[in-house]
Amino acid sequence: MAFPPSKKKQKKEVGEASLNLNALMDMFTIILLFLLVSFTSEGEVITANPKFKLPVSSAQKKPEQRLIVQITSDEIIIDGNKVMDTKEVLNNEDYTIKPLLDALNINIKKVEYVAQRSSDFVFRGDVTIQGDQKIPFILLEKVMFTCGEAGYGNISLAVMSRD
Amino acid sequence: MAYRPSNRRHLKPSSEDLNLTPIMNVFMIIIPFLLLTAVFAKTAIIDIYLPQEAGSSAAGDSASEPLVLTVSVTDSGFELGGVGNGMVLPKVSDRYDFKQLSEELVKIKERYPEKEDVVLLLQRNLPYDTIVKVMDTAREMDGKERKPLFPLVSLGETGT
Repeated sequence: MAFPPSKKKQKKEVGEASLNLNALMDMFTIILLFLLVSFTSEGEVITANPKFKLPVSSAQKKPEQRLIVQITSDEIIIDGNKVMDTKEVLNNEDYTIKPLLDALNINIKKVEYVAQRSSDFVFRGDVTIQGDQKIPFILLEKVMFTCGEAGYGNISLAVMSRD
Repeated sequence: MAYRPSNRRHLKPSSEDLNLTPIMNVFMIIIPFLLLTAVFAKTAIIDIYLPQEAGSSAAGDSASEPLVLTVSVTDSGFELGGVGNGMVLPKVSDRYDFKQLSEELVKIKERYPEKEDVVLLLQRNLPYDTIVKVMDTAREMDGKERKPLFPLVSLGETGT
């Protein structure tokens, strides 16, 4: 035999159900503030690329806006445009990487065009190299050598900051 | 003729709690968007200095600053050249001994406090993260203080 429904249940009114959202609102407000603060204070200069992982370092220096050469384990990329495959570089004994040099020279021409028309603009040969953790030194050296040859002598390496 | 009584008299007092649904909707949109764009991994840069040609840079004070400091990374470990007097720091259990290297570099820095530059000589197949680790060790002291050791790092290939 089934129990009869309890008295309490019988008395209970079928009232309007209302969700108490106050706690959720508090949480959202805090998250929103936190995200807004972290959003505005950081200008994005170096974009994370899922194709490669930067090495971790204790360096603190903030990155600046400058030409970016990316070296992944598959390809070499200048400012978002693929230039060549990494394998070609490794197979070639030559220190100058021809396609990279050509691409950099095109960039130099653009920069010179700007420099001619604006006296404030000074070309210092700044370039940031973003390399994958695993690339061998010879690859980095060849890219650095080629950058130097093209006139980009002010080389920085992009790394992940540890803290 | 009397006025008809206002309809407001029949108005129920409105419920006290605010209607939060619209603001919830806004939050629901904004928070995923900000989460997507938020960057939690901070990036930094390390400047590389091209090695200066000896003689041209330090013509006058070449006597007071006798040699360059080189750290070569070989299969067996680190080798300090130049001011380092050819000290060899072998690998410990197949790993590079960064702690020992840091200690030796601190000693060299004490002996030559003016010295700022170091040349790293690396092997062709050395992975990039090891290079960065060696550079970190050479640039700064270990620990919380973060005192600079030899911040002007340049890279070179070991003669094979």
